[in-house]
This record gives sequence, C-alpha cells and structure tokens, in this order.
Amino acid sequence: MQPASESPAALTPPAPTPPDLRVPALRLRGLAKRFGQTPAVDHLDLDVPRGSFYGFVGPNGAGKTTTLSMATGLMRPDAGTAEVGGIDVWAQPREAKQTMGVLADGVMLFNKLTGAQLVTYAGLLRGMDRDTVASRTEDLLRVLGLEDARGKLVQDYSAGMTKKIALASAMVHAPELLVLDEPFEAVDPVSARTIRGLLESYVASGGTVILSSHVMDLVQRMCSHVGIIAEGRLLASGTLDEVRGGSDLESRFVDLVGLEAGDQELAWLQL
Amino acid sequence: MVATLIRLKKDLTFNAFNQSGWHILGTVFAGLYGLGIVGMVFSAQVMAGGAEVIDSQFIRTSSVLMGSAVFLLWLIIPVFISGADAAMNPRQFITYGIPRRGLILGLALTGLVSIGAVLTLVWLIGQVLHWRWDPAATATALLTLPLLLITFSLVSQAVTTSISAWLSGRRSRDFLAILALSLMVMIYPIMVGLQSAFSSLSDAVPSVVDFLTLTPLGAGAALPADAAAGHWGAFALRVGILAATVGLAVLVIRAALLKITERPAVHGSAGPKDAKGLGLFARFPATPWGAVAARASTYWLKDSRYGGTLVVIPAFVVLAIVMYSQLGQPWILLALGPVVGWMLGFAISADISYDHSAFALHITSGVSGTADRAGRLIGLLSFGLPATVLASLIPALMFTEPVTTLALVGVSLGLLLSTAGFSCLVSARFTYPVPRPGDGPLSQPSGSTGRLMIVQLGMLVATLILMLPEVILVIVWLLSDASLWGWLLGIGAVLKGLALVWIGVRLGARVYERSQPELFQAVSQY
Repeated sequence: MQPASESPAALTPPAPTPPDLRVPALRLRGLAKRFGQTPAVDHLDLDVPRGSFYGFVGPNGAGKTTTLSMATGLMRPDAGTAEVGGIDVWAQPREAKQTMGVLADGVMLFNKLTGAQLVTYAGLLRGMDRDTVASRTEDLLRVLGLEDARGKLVQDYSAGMTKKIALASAMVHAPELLVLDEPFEAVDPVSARTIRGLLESYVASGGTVILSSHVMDLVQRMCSHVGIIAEGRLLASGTLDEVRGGSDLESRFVDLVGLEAGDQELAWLQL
Repeated sequence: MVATLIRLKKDLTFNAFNQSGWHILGTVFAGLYGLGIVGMVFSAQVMAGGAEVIDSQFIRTSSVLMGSAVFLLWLIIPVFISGADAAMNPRQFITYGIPRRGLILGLALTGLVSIGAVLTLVWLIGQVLHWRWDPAATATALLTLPLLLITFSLVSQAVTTSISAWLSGRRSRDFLAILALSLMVMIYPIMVGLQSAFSSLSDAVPSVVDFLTLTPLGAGAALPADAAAGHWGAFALRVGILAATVGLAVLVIRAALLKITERPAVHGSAGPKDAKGLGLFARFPATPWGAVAARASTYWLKDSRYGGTLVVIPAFVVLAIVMYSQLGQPWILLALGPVVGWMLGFAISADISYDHSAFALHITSGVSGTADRAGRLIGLLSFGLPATVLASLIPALMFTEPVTTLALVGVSLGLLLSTAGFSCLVSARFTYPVPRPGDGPLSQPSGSTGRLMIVQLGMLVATLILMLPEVILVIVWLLSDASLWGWLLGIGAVLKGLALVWIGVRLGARVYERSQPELFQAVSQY
C-alpha cells in the first residue's frame, strides 16, 4: 500500500496551546485501510470544522467505523494521517487523545462496574483529580437521568442506559472533540432526546461533535455539517445545505450511493 | 418438529467446525481422550463378562459404580456448559411457539446428538457384553439400553432447562460454576474422608453400591444383576425408581419450559445500592494507575472468571494439607507457597483478553503504558502478596525451622513477583482467547485449548529459566547446609523479583504503547 501522495497537509506542525480556530477539530488525510483484498477505507480526506456538529453518514459497511477507529487510535491505518486540533493521533497519541472523547460502536464497557464507578474510572484514567471527577460524575448522571441507576452494575443496564453511560464516560474530561460512533443505535426515543439535548448544548458552548449514523432524518435535524461515505470514499462533504443542495438529505444520499453502485443497489435502498 | 430440532442440532454442531481449525482440533482431542477412556472400560467390560469363572458380585459392583458415574456426568456436565452460548438453550425457542410436548421430546433427543451420547452408547453396549453370560441379564441389558440413554438425556435436559429457567441470573450461574470448580479440586479430600469413614475402601464398597442401586444413579445399571439373580421384587422396585426419575425429569422440564416461555425473566433491579458507591475506587490513589488497580481489584472480586482462580487457591491449600496428612511428604506443603505465587503471577497474563473490547477505554483515554501495566500489577499484588505469604507460612506451622521459613517466603514472593513481571511484559503483546465477559469461568471459548496450552507451557519454561539462580542457591544450600545460603536465597529471590517487576513494567509499557491497536483488534475478536 503506497502512502497517499494527495495529502499535502500531512506535515502540519502541532497546534499552539490556545486552539487556533482555523485548524479543523478533526482532519483526516489520505486515510486508508484494507482487510485482505478489499479496501475498507480508500484514501479518505475529511475536515471537521471546529464548533461544527458533523454527521458522518453512509450505508452499512461503508467504512464509517473503520474510519473513526483509525481517527481515535483503535485501529492502525495502512496509510494517511489523522489530526485532532492539529495534533497527529498516531505520532503524539497521548496529546491528541487528551482533547478527544470517544464513544466506539459495538464495544463492550467494563460492565462489572456500577454506572458511577465507570464514569469515575474514565475520569481518573484521564488523570483528573478526585473532586473534579466526583462532581462531574454527579452532573453527568443527573443530566442523563441515570441517578437512580448509579449503583447498578452496567451489565444490568438497558441499551439506552448503556449508550448514555458510555457517553458520560466519553465526556467526563470535557473534551474539545467528541467522536461518537452510532450514538443513537438501539436507543429509545426518550433517551435519544436526552442525548441529543446534551450534545446540542455541548456544541452550542463551543464543542465539536462528529457522529456516525445511517439515520438520515436524525442527521438532517441535528447536524450543521455532513459527510457521505460509501465503499470507503467520501462522496460529498460540507455544510448540510451544501450537501443536500435543495432536496432532502436522504434523496441526495441515495443519489450519491446509488450512482456508485448501480441500479440494483438503488432498488434495494428505496424498498 | 422433533426431526427439525435434531437437524438443527446437527447443523449447529457441524457449522461450529467451520469456525476455526482449533475448534476441530479441540473436539478431536476431546473425542479421542473420551474414546480412549471408554475403550479401556469397554475392553474391561468384555473381558469380565467372558471370564472362565464369573464373579457375579464383582460384575454387579462394577456395573453399578460405572452406571452411577455415567449418570453423574450427564447431570454435572450441563452445569459446566450452560453458559450463554449453549447451543440448544430452550430460551432461544421462546419466539417460535413450539408445542410443548414436541419441544420436550425434541430437546431430550437432541441431547443424543453429541460426543457424550456416542461414548455412552459404547459403554452401554459394553454393559450388554458384560452380562452376556446370563440370558436374562443380557436381555435386560439390551432392553434397558435405549431406556437408559433416554433417561440420561432427559435428566441432563432437565438440569439445563431448570438452570436456564430458575438460575439464569449471572450471580447464581457464577455461583454454580465456582461450586463445581471447587468440588473438582476437593474431590480427593472428599474421597479420603469417605475412605476414613470406613475402615478400608473395600469394606465401604458393598454398602455404597447397595445404596446407589436404590437411587436413580445406580438403579438402571443394577437391573441386569437382579435379572441374573432372579430378584424380581427388587427388579420391579428399581424399574419403578427409574420410571419415577424419567417422570420427574419430564415434569421438571415441563415446569421449567412453562417458566421460560410463559413468564420470561424481567431484567434489572438486582445489585447493591450503596449511596455513594465508588467501592475500591475510593480506596486506591486517584491517579491513572490507581484507577486501573482499583478496577482490576474490583474485577477480581466481582467477575467469576477471575473469582474462579481465587476460589481454587484455598481449595488447593486444603488439598495439600489433606494430601500431606495422608502421604506424609513434606514437599507437598513446601511447594504450596511457590505454586500459589506462580499461579497468581500467571493470572494477569490474560488481563487484556479478559477486558475484551472494553479495553477500548484504555486506548481512547490515552492511558500511559506504565499506568496500565503498573495498575494491573498493583491490583493483583494488593491481595496476591498477603495470599502468597500466608500460603508459604503454612509449613512453618508444622515443621520448618526459621531459616527455611524465611527462604520459603522469599522464594514464594520472588516467584510471584518474577512471574507477574514477566506477565506484564508478555501480555503487552500476546493475547489468547478467554471466556467472554459475562460467561462463567468454565466456559472455555471454542478452539482456545491448544493456544492456551502453548502459552502456559511457554510461561512455565520461561519461569523455570528465570528461577535458575534460586534453584542453584537451593542446591548449594542443601549441599553446604549453612544457613547463610538460606538467607541469601530468601532475600535474593525477593530482590530479583522486584527487579523483574521493574523491568517487566518498563519494557511492558513500551511494548504496550507500540502495540495498542493490534492488542485491541485481537482481544475484541475473542
């Protein structure tokens, strides 16, 4: 696998300590990964502007999780770079991860801990002091409506509660960027609304969110920016209005993905 | 319906082989092992049945004992494998609305599509040959062959179904598994205890056998003996016992299925509810390594996969004391401390595998290698140090002099530290499949046995090499008989252990930081 030649910005110097607003919160350049012969992510470039609510959409198996795993340090890319606030995730992992909160998809939690213990654990792992962790854990449990379940083992949580406690663990250190892989999957409408409220106020206060989803409607309602991925390539990206260009996001999505895959795929998607 | 269920079981069994070569190897290995044992039993049965002078009392005794053992195996094995992944868990049929009668019969018969059933069949044919010197007994053995097979399967199914119905909570399943594990270790002391209850083993056998023939365990196997001796009254009684067993098993399965299908379990509302409830996280320092140590210790207490290791240790101590009192060999007690130290040190070599994909949290929060390695190590040592010291002090209560005790404590601690340090390094790169989070300690992942054996063998060889200086010191000490060498051994072992821990954590941290994503991808497959 050749390193991507089309990544001129690969050697950006580390960001100065006061965050430069022009540096994207997340910048992927020429990111590539193949499993055996199939490329899962094919030299993907992506910019998530600071302060944006970025929806990363694509059909199942399009490479969303693989891309986000490579951006968060969970999977080593074959080629390309991932930068969080100008810091290379793979060259300076510890610095890059400090400003990033991650909710990975299909990943277990330490579910023999209670909800309160899990959030505390996530905070302490980040090197925060005990009092800050304690007060933020309280706040998060309260905002997410998990106060009653704080002493319950995470293994006894429902799917919605599990997503919420995972989100709390990803936010306890007040990151500048939240990377959420399928945060609304298997979540009931009430929990979904709670999560959405929390994320919207987080973005309003200056945070950046990138979330992956295949629910177009949800992305259209929540996100300011959208990127559409299929077969490991970014087909369109930009603000919501730029991408959907007059029509709604779903038709645009089907247009894009359908054109790539031909009539058969289109027929299946429109069923 | 019955045919469909049997086909399903067949497909599930064969599809499992497509998963990995290790699975096939493991199954073949287990099958050969079982076949070896059954083959030996079978030839013994054939020979005893064809002897010049028939010892009918002996044949009755061996039949009943073997029959009871087989029955017991059918009872116990479901407890071990009734993890979440048991192939034919009745819970999986809830949504299909299968008529209950068909389901009971089908489940009972699918139990016969297994290696265990084939081995049992071989044994039952052996029984027929065992009794071939008497026509009535032969006929009885032949007629009871299918009956016994069905009984075993039904009883086994009754156990599986009732575990699924009434003990499906993780807590009770963990409890059962740990109970079974400690029973396995304790079987020797129990036998010894039984033996001492009678003046000798051979005195005990007749009364044990007579008792067994009146229980479901031995009733079926004793039928040919009654037929041969013409005890038709006893014969009828045992047929009654057998019929009652079958009836009871069917009733239990029926009740359990009713419970499962018509009143599905409601999840939640279990667990302690202490107000602040940070548990060990409040005890360990509020640093990344402290948090890892607190989490690791919490898991040692709460996760039965770790708990299994912990329960075995006291059982081991009892076993060693009983064996010592029987055999009078001092090395059995002397070995206790080093063995416990080695076992505990080895125990963290699969730590990341046990985390499974939850390990993602460590990666995404950018925990340093040192904090991860040291935290897991300190979590282990927080109880491993006292446990090892206690185990190595046991012989001091009985016979050793101070220098020996000191050397023993030193060597045990040294072994704990050396192995733990080595585990810190090795586990930062190499993982092996372990039971998934939520499974019992005994539910081995399919195809893991071979790899596990290789890793354990490697660890054993490596620790032996690491312990060479101690071995040499022990030899010098024994030869020279000067207590100076004992002191040197004890203190040197601890110092060396500390050095290895330091090296293990430092090197392990470096390896860990380099290979995080590969570790994560590997363990999340298990």
